[in-house]
Amino acid sequence: MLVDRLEVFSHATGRDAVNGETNSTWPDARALDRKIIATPPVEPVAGTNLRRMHLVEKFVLRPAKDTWYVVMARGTTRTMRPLHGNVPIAYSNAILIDADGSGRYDDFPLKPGQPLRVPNVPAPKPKVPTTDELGNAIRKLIEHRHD
Amino acid sequence: MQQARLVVASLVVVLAGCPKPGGGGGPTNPRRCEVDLKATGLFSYEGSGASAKKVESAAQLIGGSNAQGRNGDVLLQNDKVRVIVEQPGRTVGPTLSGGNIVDADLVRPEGTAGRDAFGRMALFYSLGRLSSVTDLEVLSDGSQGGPAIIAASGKDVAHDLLNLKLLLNNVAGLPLEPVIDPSAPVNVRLTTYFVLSPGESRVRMLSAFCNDSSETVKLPLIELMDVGAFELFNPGGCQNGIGTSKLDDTNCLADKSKWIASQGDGVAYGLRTMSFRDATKPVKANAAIGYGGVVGLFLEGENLQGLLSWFDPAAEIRPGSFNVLAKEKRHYVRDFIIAKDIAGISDVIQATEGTATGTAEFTVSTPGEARVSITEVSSGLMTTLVVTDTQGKGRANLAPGEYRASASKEGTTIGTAATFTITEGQTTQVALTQGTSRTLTVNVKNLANSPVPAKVTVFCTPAPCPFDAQTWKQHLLVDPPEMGAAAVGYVPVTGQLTLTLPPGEYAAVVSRGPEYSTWPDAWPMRGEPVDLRTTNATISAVVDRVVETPGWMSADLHVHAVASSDSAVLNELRAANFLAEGVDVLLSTDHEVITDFAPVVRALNAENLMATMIGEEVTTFTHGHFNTFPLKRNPELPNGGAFDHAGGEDAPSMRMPQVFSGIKAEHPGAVVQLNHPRGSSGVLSQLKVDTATLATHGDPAQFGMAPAADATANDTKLLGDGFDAVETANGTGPSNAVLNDWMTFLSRGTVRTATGVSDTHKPFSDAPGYSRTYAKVVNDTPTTFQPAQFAEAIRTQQAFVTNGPLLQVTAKKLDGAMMPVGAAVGIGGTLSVAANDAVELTVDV
Repeated sequence: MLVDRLEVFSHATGRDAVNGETNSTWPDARALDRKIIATPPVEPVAGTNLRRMHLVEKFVLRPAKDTWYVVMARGTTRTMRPLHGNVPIAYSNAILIDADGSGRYDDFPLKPGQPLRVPNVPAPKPKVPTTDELGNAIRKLIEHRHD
Repeated sequence: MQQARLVVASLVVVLAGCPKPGGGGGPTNPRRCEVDLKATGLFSYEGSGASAKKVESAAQLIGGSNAQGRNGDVLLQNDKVRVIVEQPGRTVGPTLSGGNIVDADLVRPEGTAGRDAFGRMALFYSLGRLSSVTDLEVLSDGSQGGPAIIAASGKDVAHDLLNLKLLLNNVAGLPLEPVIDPSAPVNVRLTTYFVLSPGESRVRMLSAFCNDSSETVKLPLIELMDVGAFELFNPGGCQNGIGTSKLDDTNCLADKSKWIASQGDGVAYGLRTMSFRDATKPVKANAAIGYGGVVGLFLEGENLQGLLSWFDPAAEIRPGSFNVLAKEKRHYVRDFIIAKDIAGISDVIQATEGTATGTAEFTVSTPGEARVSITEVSSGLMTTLVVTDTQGKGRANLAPGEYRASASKEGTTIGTAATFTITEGQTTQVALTQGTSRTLTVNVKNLANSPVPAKVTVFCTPAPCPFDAQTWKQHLLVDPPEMGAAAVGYVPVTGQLTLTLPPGEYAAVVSRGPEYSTWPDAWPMRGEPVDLRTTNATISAVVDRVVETPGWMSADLHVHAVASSDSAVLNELRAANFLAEGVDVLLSTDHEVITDFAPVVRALNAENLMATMIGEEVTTFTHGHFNTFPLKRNPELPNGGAFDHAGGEDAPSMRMPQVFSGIKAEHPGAVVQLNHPRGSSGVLSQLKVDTATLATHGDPAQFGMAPAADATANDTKLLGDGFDAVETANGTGPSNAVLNDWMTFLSRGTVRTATGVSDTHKPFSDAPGYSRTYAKVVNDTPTTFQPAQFAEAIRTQQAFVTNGPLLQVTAKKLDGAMMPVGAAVGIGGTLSVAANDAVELTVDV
């Protein structure tokens, strides 16, 4: 297993989604900070002849307001075979930052009650489908794909 | 709510009093649609030995890998077969109502364990309605000879989950309007008679519709079968092999079918439907739509064009029309057949249709159970499948003609095919050679020389393999391992496993999840060479821990096995799978079923290595899925007490705030997770959620819900924030879309837990155990595992998601000299600082 990229994420604009639409945008620039590890260190496992990759890195950040941090560690070169065929990735849940002295993460970057941007979209009018449309719809139905 | 349902269940009465030997003549029940069964001439009244009786003890149940029978159900049995018909009551899930077959098996010798592998089946009509069975009556208990007969009568209700209009509109996004409104009540009484005659291997079912209205009712009929076993065979299908038809661009989607069968372990099931016009003749063509282990038969629907006609008001012909005139009644008949193999199913069908046949008797040279596939020479189509006994012997009755047969089994090449001719009334001996195979025995120990569980993955050298799932498609259904591997095996706690493979050269690699080393050391440059060209081989591997994770336990928070209608993985295999992958906690999240894996983990002697936790995937069909855990299974309730998100029979479906609070009321302390929240089965997509506000724009009527009292023009209030976790990684990697959703929730103060899951439904091909979620617990030993403690860690975000790397993150405040001050805060914690203070995050991977 080789992990060669560490990233810190925090609040940023552009992540929200409206009206059920999927927002898959994931620009590199949205990470708050990043470290690229040129040579991931490998060390012996004490008392054995086994080895492992072991990486310790530090990030220093200066939060101006209440916020949150999520850390993501991933590899870009080698898959996790034989565990599975994808590249390695792990990410933390949030560490919350109280920067206003309240003792809690309670001054949220996205304020509640903001005006809604999208009105209700009326349902499309029914139509008689073509065979292809019905076939594709049934495929979609029974495959129940998800992101 | 659970208690209330228990009371309701106990009030349901199985009317076993006054059964009549002739059938159809029991005490008049106004809810029954009466049919003089004997007068139909459709049933055999000869002989004796059939029986029908209410199950009163566990000893009367069938048992087996998919057994669901309970006390209070009714057992139909003769000298050949036995089935269990479920007692009345609501069973949340695709079939929704009791009064249907849930278990079936051959009659086996005294003391032999039952081998039920059947899921369940039910009949729907009007594209989204069914009979909610209220009365299950034993009309003839068989004690006086003749058939045993039971009748299931009910009331017309809307199917809360399967409404084709809403499914196609909402989930598939196709705005169409069927010519039959599934939401419109139908004034019919529907009674299904289950008739088991002495000496027969089929339960003949007659569903009678009494039209009490003054108008003709039009009832397109759909049989839905959760066949349990996935090895489905459609003799008329274009797939021409074992398994469900492909969901590709071929015309296999709504495949023509006269009958279907599925092959389980030592038992096979078949369904043959009869013509609407003449119940003595078989149907010409149903339209079969299959996915996983579930098959829908649109009766007499013929094909996709036939189905389409029900969405076209101008269609002049609608295949599948089953009309019942005003004040009249009409019936529909089908046979549910039980045999040892699919050849046994086709035997019964041919015999009942009076097809002239001869017999082929097969002898496979290598003793042991084998699969013999038979194809018709002229068409090249697979005709049937024989499963031989341990002596390699089997038989099939076939229509006269020329055939080709070949033998194989798992891990074995296809044997040389033999061609033979069948003559009416004659028996033909067919000698077959089994294909070739080799065995690879794998021994796995740790550095202390103790046997340990592990996963062995075998790759072909050179890749790709000269065989794949298609190689065996006419003999058995193969779940091809991930990564192009030839085979995957799960080594049990004994540390030893033997795999069967076709002769060839391979490379083996042994692993035990991300906390352990991988063997051999040369991996990933190369695996351990294994030469199986001419002989069997044995390898001895050593794996041991390379990372300690004190205080953390891992779980894949979305796992399916055989109790899910779309999974055929036996619980034993799933437990072995997760043990081999080094998962600390095996969580059950079957669709609409509360499963307890603990007994199978104990049976594997693995309770010291892997804990279990009970959960469920609450599965709406139109607006998302939701895992919840830890739960308690109640064996007295249908599906172990699965949560009824559809709000009961007469109530509207619950809005999400009601679902979330309802689950937590039934199971205090339970975590609720938004599963795969994007896509056609994702709640954020389907309810049209604005993630920054949690406002919804979905129309409650489209989901069978009542409007929320506090709904506004810009927010239908269908979601709420009563969930605890979001499934950000469903499979081996995260979804950027769902990460965006989850991070948006964090930014608006809806701090919820990101989780990682596999959502595995298969034994090998969908990377079971990856992704997974580690949670911080006080006690991390499996034997003292506390589900509530694990759930609390998930609820409070003390968790990380991984497909392999093991991650620790701490945050500290730094002083002016950039030195740490105060205590470090871990994942899920809150660090208090002054604005613009330096915060140091330490990342340890």
